[in-house]
Amino acid sequence: MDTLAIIATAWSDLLQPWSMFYLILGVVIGLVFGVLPGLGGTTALALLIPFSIGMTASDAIILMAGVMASTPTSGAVTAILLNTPGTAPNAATTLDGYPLAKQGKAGLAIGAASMASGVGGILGIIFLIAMIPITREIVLMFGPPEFFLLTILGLISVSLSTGAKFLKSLVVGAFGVIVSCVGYHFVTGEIRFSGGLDYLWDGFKLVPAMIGFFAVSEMINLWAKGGSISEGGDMAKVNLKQVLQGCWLPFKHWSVTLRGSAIGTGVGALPGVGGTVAAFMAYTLAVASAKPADRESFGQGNIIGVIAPEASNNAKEGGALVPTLAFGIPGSAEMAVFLSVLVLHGMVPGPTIMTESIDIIWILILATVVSGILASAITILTASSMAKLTFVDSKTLVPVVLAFALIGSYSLNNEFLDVVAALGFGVIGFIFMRLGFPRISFPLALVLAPIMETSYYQTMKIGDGSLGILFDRTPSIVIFACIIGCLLYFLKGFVFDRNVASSANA
Amino acid sequence: MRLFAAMLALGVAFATPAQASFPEKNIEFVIPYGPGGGFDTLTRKMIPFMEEYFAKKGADISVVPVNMPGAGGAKAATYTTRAKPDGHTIQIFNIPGHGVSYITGSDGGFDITRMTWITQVGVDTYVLMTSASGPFKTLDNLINVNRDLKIPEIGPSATSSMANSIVWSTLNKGADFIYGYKSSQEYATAVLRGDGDLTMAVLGSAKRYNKAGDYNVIAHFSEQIDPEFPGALNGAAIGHPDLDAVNLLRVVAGPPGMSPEITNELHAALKYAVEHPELQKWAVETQNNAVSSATPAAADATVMRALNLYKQFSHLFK
Repeated sequence: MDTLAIIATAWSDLLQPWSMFYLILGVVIGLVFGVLPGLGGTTALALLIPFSIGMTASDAIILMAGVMASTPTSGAVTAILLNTPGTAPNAATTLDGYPLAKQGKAGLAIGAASMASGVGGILGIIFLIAMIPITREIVLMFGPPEFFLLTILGLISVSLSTGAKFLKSLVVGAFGVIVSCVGYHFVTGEIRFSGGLDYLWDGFKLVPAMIGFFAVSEMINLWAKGGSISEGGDMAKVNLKQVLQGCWLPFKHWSVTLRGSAIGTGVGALPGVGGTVAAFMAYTLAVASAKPADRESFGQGNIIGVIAPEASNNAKEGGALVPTLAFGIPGSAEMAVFLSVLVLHGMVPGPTIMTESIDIIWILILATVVSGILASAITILTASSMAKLTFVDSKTLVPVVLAFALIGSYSLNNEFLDVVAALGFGVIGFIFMRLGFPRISFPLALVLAPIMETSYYQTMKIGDGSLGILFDRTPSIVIFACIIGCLLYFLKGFVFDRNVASSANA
Repeated sequence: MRLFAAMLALGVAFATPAQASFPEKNIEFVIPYGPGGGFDTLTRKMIPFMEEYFAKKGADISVVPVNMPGAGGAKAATYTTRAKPDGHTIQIFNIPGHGVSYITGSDGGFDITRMTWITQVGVDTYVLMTSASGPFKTLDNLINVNRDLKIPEIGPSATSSMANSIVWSTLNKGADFIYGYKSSQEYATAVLRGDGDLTMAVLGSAKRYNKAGDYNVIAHFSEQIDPEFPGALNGAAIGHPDLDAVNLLRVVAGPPGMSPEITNELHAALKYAVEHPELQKWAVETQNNAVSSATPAAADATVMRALNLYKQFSHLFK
């Protein structure tokens, strides 16, 4: 059967009533799990596995595609409204999304984020289709030296994205690295810094730490400050019109959307580091390519700062499927669960899946595209109602959000100590916030530090103790050049700004 | 005397009413790793058939999979050890992975020898592979290279890592492990990329990874070499038949002190699940065709035999 006939068959399978039902169900579940702090795509997929066993393989995959394509879309909503990234890749969205919410422009930000997500998702899938013939070569190009350099690039990108607070951002990043050192060490088998607590054998978990550091600390701050999240703006203006204005912006700034999607699909294909690094790289590049006069507005509520990371982190979904399908190497916890769904339904991820199960792969591709569009449409239609949350008084909002956040922490593993951890990180996050330290580098450090440690160790072992291996391979040389470029850009800005300041003072 | 025996029998009958109605509530099936791996997938595949078995016996209960990753599987095993031995908490174990503390004589937080073994649901033998595009085509090529062999692996307590240690120690060849890969698929891919020289994968995985012919299959450590790998050597062929006993067991157990009645009932449920035609069909399709269902006594004996074999090489794992 030729490719067009396979696509036509997959499309007609997707339009069957039960398939559409599962797709819509997946999208709704994904949106709900994405918008609630703590509950993400991984939890949703894991909970759905038992139900999927009795389904046909295509229905199960359609349901899962619905969930996977919609959680990042709604994850941006909490990033914008509550300064709490739904998942680590949504963290970059908080930088300008939350300031927009504080200005009463949450509807605009959600509209732009949803449309950028939808467009990014489609571009990511187009990328996946284009990559199918060369997936193997791409995965084999990236080994420990490249991952090590990518983690450095990620940490530099996030610190650069905080502009003048570069050094303070590095301090928060260092705190994240220390936190990530707790627990079982993969080489020595030692349990590090656990203080004898069984709970810390596997280190601090990402979700309670993120919920605490962002949602809980934000709510403590809001409670202390009083009033509502929105410090300006008019609630009457938060309507569908404002959201639709936001929807137009990813097209107005089409080069930002395209660049963000390209970074998301390319970097997103790399297991582990992909999505988070890609979002921050897209953000940093958006700042770097803005007109000098506009750069100051980043971090204060520039809509481009929402479009770039959101286009990137939805485009990564297509990229992340590349190693999952072609090698059975899941790029994230979510992909690991999806992998088990494939195996449970008799599919064997690996080099031959593209030939043996190509019909199912096309159903997955089409379901992901349709789900992404549907998720964006639902988010856009409900955005104005959700945006009104930013006008709710803290006395009402704080208890409700805190309750959801702490339930979210608990429900992930039914573990009470996760709630304690979330509260502890909430207090630490609040202190950082009050001292003027940008918290944004914390999640990235938490995600990247273990990968950095592992890939550094592996690089040294592969290179017989010499870092020369970093300059032996083309991909690592390209990434190294990007790191140098980022640092030069920072130094140029630093020197230029000082000169401008000196001339102004003279 | 007869009166005493009758009273004793009566006493036993009164003492075990709860066991007669087992299971009374949902059964927690602990998986010592995160969702998505081989242990997780096999457990989740067995669960619906276990529920079907109990439903046929009139018990409308659920078997709930609980992923409990952490500390190389020790966290889950400690949890299961501390659970009430009433049959409502069971776990799938990795042998020798969960036996590292017994093998090395260290304190792992639980005693593997005290678990109540219910049945064995899988046994996997190891296959030694190198990259088809690399320089190592035979076992002699590997042994004669003038340096230690570089072997990408998950970590020192991973079962494949232990198998590698035993094989290369037996063959008097140095092994330099590169730890930190997340799964066997990842370290097998690392060999294709050139991170290391060879990979040791269980039979089902080896067949999956080698579907596109990317690897040289050098050895299959099993008494019977799989027909798919006709050119492979085994332990006997290279003069070390003991290497053919180095394998990976998937065994289900409950906490120490579970009663024989409950153990037998769980064994029957797992046997029903493992032998179910649908599960067997899936096992063949996905190359997980190593499922079996030993009796509790046989499972116990198999586990101890495997642990004691690894104990002979305990110096390698310290």
